[in-house]
Amino acid sequence: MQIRKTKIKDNKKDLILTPHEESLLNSPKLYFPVTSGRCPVGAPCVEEGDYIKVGQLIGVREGAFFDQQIRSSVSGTVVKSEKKVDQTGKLVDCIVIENDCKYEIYNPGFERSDEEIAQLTQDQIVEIIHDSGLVGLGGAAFPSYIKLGTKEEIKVVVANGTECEPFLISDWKFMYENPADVINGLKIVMQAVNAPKGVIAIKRKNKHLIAKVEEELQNHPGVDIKVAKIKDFYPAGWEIQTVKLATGIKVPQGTILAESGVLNFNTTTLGSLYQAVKYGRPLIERFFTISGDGIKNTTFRVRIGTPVRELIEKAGGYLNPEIPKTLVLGGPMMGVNTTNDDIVITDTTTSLLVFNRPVDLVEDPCILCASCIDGCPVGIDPVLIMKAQRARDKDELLTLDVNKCIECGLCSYICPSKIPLTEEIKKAKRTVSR
Amino acid sequence: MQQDVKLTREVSPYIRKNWTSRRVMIDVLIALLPVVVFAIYRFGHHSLIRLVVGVAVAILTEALIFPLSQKPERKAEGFKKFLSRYKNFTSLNIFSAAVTGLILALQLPAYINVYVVVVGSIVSIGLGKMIFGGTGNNIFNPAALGRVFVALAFGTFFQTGYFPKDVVAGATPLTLVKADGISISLKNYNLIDLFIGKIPGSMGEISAVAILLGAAYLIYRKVADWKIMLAVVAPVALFALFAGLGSPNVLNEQLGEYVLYHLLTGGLLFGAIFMATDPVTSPLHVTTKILFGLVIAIITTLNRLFGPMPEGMVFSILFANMLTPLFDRIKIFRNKFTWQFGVAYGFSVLAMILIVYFGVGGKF
Repeated sequence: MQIRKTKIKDNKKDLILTPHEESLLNSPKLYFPVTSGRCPVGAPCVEEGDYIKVGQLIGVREGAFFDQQIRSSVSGTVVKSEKKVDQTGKLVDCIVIENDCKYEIYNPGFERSDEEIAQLTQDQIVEIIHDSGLVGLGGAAFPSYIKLGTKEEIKVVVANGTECEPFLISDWKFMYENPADVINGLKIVMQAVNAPKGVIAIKRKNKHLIAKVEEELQNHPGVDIKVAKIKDFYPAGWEIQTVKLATGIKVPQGTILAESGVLNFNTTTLGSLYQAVKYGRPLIERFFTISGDGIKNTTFRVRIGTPVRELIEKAGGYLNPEIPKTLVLGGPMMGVNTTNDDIVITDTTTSLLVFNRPVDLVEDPCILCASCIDGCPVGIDPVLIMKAQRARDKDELLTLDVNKCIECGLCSYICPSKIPLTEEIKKAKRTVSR
Repeated sequence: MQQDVKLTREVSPYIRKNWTSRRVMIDVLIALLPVVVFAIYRFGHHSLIRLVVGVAVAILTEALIFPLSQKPERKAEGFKKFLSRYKNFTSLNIFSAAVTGLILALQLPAYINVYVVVVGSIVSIGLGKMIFGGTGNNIFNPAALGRVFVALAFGTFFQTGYFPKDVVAGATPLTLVKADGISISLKNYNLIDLFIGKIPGSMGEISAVAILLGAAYLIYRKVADWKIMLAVVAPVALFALFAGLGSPNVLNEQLGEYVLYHLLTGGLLFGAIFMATDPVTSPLHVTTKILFGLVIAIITTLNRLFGPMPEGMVFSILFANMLTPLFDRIKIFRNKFTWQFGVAYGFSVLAMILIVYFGVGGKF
């Protein structure tokens, strides 16, 4: 059987063509988790009763080798902390701010002119980005200032706008609404790392978006930025895959991109990066998609910290509440499942998917069709790993490169016998490390 | 507004591709349809009876042996306890058994004794598949195993099986190619007849048109890998070309016809398209699939040119099946075409060309 590149049917096209909810919600309370997936510890630097303005520092998250500043997206009073579900699907402590609906800005009127921006050195840009608390908004939440601070020689910077997971459109939407911000952000990154070339990777099928970006590029003469049209398959947005498709540079798996002379940024991250440099403004709003067959599909502009329950309500609530649902944060292939819809929007929360369940999935015996092997983007053998894992054969697993797996979920998706291969490989990773 | 919705726990990915193993088996059955229709058109009720018997016995055998491999529910009693062994018996079992039974029957002559079909079907499913643990666990292609078993056990039945009772037994095209050389064979059967299927032979193997229609459907539905089909057929054509060059019986202007003759006779196309592509018994990676095809091609060619058995194709498929677990363990080339693969493949092809060329009497 033969599956080389996998297209996944979804409703992306419909979603991007329907206009989003323009008005921001005036939620009475906004929630800011003090920890995140990458930063297991964190602390607020404000106390109950403090008055906070939009963009003001309210806490710091600490990761292994970096920190991320938490900044408020509203003005109001800090009240008692509560527990909410964040992007990782777990309950975490949150700083709670009671919204006074005035949205007073912390540093009003602050703006750098284009000449001032052009004068900035790498260290200055890194410092600005560090202070804005910007992280990779594609979902992995890698802090941008670490990437920007690279001392390697960078040949090309890739703006990753492929967004290959089905059902998600927040990156596309952002690029479509703010193409200038993305390009300006890319220019700043190129200036910071002294890269001669920039590439914006967009899926080939996304014609109106390509047209929009190319039109905007005409307003930016003198810089070498091109649009790379990427094939439509999953996982085209995996950074190693995107870099290879957009620039032809092969990055060995397990090394840092910068070592191969490439930097890869999500397009929404670049847009926010420009905002941070130009107006000294941290990320305070983003696009958020509610999608899936269990709810009316809607795209919102939301403030960071908004509780998702209010958005579900605004979208008209769950359809057919008598049918059990599965909630997924992120994409349907790699997203996180949560059984609690008391979710708050953080900077890296891209979407909520609501699927009607249960779907009738009967596991048949494996017929060794090798679809999983043909589809695997890293070239390992999911079926052999699954068999070895079910036989608890650690010696065999050690020969099968289990840890190369990026858990993209394609093998489970493709399997005609509906075997949960990705789950077995995750188990195999634990078996191997034991 | 707090809605009361039951939220379920699940692991990623949350969507699945809309196809199943059952659908794969049904697709194979659909692909076999042109062949079946042609067999019935050519041989009438003779073939219909044998095909139906082959399929029915295969499904029955699967259903009878299946419970032996299953654990019953502990709490159930008596007959219900027995029935609980059928809990995992799904339509996949029925369809895969039907595919095996049908492929086996199609490889038999239309006038052969029905008991041969029955025994072949039982052996295919019983010894070929269920004894290894059922669908997905077999080492050998079940239909090929059954076909070889009946060929060895009921050899004499085949001599009369290709022709109706009142017709004097003649030779099938493939037996002629060895005995008298190409000129006589082509006098008896021209290429158009071979292509359409106006020749004596097994029910399903004679009509190249019907088989290629099935192949087109399999490739369109992405159920079978065209790489395996090509990996079997292309080397056979290459070897036939060199055999024709080397053989003193084949004139140079007959070369093209000679090669086509090799491709269209015997079970080559049928085996390459419906049996070598069986996912369970073929290797997992692209490179090893191509090597697997080469093994089949080499043994088939050797058998045709120098061996005694007309079942060369099925034998070679069984032999290649035997190597499949070994192929799957090769670590130096998996889905990548490395120089090691090039050396292994090129060397084998070259050696085989030399063997064929000088084997049939070729001179420098």
